[in-house]
Amino acid sequence: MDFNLLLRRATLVALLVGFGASVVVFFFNDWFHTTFLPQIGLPQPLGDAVGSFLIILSAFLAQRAVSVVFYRDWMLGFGKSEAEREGRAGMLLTAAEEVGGELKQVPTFNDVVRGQLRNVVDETEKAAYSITERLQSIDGVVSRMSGFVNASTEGSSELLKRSEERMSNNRALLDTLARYIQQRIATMNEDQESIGEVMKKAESLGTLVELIKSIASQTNLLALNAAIEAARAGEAGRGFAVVADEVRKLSAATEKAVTQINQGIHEVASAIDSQFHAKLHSSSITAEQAALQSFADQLNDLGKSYMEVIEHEADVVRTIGESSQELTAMFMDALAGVQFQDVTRQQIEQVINALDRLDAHAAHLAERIEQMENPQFVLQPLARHLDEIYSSYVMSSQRDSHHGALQDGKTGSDSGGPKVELF
Amino acid sequence: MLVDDSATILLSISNILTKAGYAVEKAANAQEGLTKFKGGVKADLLITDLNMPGMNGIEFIKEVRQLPQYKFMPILFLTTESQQSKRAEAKAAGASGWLVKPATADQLLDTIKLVLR
Repeated sequence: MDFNLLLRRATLVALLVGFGASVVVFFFNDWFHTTFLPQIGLPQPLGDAVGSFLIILSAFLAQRAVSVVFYRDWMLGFGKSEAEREGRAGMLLTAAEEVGGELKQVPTFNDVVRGQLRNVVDETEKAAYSITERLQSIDGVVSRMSGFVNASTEGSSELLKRSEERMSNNRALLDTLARYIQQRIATMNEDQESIGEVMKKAESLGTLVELIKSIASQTNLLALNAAIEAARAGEAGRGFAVVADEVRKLSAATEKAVTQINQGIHEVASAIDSQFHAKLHSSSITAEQAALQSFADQLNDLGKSYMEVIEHEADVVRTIGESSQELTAMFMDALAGVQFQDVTRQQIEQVINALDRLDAHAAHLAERIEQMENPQFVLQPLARHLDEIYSSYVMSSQRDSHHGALQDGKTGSDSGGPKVELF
Repeated sequence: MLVDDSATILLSISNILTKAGYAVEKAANAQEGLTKFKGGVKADLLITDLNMPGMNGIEFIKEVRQLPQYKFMPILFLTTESQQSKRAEAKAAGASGWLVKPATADQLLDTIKLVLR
């Protein structure tokens, strides 16, 4: 109970009881001295002393009575308050003992939490190691594939090179073939013209034959005239008649030979015409040209298709090769990403360190409760541990998180530097 | 030479380096690394963690710098620590560079190329 309140109550009750006593003394003083004391036979000084004693005792009892009436307590509410205080103190003591006991259990609780955290560290360590090993296995497969792709790339390049050479050869062959076709056409045209010339010349031989035939006929006529003149000359012309007869026979033989020559020329011309007609006919030349051109076109198409297949294969191999390089880069990044486990491990170790400090502080608080009556006990503030935890951080993110929790407007990045620094 | 107390870091970083064509010697702590150096293991570069049980990274590189053959070998720290004061301490102890975990493969390989140049 508040002392001032108690003083106010005591003063108020004392005034009230004092006033009542004054009224009693004022009204009963004369009766007390003149009637009451003589009746009981007490002298006045003794009677005043007894009266004073009784008045003071009555005043005390009256104060208690007033206290009971007004405050429901013999001691102006102090007794009740004190009982409540004692009850509260008992409860506080009980609570303090309970808290002290619980504080002693904090390390056990933290042991469980630390165990869980260490378990997390172990599990993530194993998982990260396993991930790294699997990545290593994947890399083995990727490397083998990459080796195969590289070999294929070299093979494809070689194949492409050879194909290009073949195509070049084919193109040269096609050029040769085209030239051959043109040459063939030119030759055939020339042959056609030559045969025509031969035919013309053979036909022109007929004119010569007719000329010889005419000369033979005239010779025969001259021989006949010579025979007539020889007969007219008589004996003198007998030798001449023999010559004329021989000339006539020769003329007849010449005519017969000319007829045979003429027949032979016609047969030769006919044979040439029948022999070369089919070959030198223009439609045959066009058909042969078309067949050769078709062959050349098909050869060209075949070469192009082959090149397309080779180029497509080269594209496929190139794409796989590029993907393989991307996979390698991704593999390296994934491996580098595994460092998160080390970062996490150190952060969890910081939490475990903080729990250790919490253990120490809980033990310190329990000790404080046990020594609650020891005025020499110095309580160490929790803030001291916070400062020590802060000084043990190894990452800017930890410092940022710390300042964020305390909401002190600071950042931990101020003390950090770039991620990569060369000295 | 790669020194880190985390088996996962040793495996992952050594894989990256091997993939990039480097031969890697591993040590699980500073003392093991120092023993290997003193045992004659040859190295062109040392990559080490900072916070390790026993001897920490800075004490370790001070010891390494005492060995005549490694007086001028490039040394990189690969650590979660980012504080400037620690970097300055490492620089004074003879470190060549500093990488904060987690570093990407490109950051790691580019930095290695730079310090080996």
